[in-house]
Amino acid sequence: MWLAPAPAAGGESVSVNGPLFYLGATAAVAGAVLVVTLKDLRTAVMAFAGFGLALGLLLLVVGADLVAGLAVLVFTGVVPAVVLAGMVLTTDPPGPGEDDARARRPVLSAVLRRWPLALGVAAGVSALLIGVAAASRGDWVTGPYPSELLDRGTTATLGHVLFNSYALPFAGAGVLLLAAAVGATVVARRDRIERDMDRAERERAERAERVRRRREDRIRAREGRRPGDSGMAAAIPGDEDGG
Amino acid sequence: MSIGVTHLLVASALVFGTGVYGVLARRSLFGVLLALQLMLAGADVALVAFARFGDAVRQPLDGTAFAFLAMLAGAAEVTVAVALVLLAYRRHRTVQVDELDELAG
Repeated sequence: MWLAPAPAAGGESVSVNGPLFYLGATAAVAGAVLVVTLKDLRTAVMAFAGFGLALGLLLLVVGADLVAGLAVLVFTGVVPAVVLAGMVLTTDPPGPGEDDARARRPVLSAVLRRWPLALGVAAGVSALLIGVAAASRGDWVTGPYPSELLDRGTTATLGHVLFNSYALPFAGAGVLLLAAAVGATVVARRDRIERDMDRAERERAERAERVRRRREDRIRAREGRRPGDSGMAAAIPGDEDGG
Repeated sequence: MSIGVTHLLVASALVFGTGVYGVLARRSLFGVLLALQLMLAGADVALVAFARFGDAVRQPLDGTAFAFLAMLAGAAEVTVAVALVLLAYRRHRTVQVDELDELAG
């Protein structure tokens, strides 16, 4: 039975490769730091993809092979692709200098978003979590890990668990993904008001272009006539007011 | 020194804290979105840690299944969030959070 622990499993720390764990954890934390500190957001997205790879390695070392694969797919594939697509669709993508001081920055935001305060809050949250983990050390460990999961991987067992114990949440996740896809389509679609505004703006530009061409034609026609002939100028109304 | 649950929780806390910093310090909505994904990844690491080292005898993969579903929810979140960012850009012509200071309009 896969639930039964291995008799000689040797405790909770069995079969975790130390060097690989430290490599994956260091790379993941370094990638995360790069994601939040790089000025160029496009480079930050690439760093996020690297972070996904490091996270996959970290989870793989721990023994969660299926989740590691999913992490690589999501954090290296889906998230960078969607974010880059969003950056392309916004013609003002924040690139180098996105953190430059802006004249219109509200006072409250300028106070809240100073990086020392953000760093302090982040350090406090991390210290709190690490403190809880250190203070409760050992309380969460109830026994050795089943050796079959270490030998054969967790994919088959996780599939069994997902389609039996967690069938409803799994179906709910599918519905959530579908709803997200439909919702994103509806939200990102241009609505009628925006279409009307775009059409009005286009018509205004075309009207201005027609007026400009008409004025140029009048000027050319006037220059082509003899000096002193005012009959043509009188026949062209609205020339002096600029259209 | 053998690797235990504390090691994974420390890594999880560091990634989560880095995400918190990004949410507070980034000014681009896309940067905030990436930082939110970092926080989600930190939570996923903690879930897998508890599955691996926590109640491994009775429920060895509950935390892993939870992390699996959380990652799917995160993918859905990114999709909707980018659509909302596009909508905000279309309305306000900016993706900088400092300039999005109107609730309506």
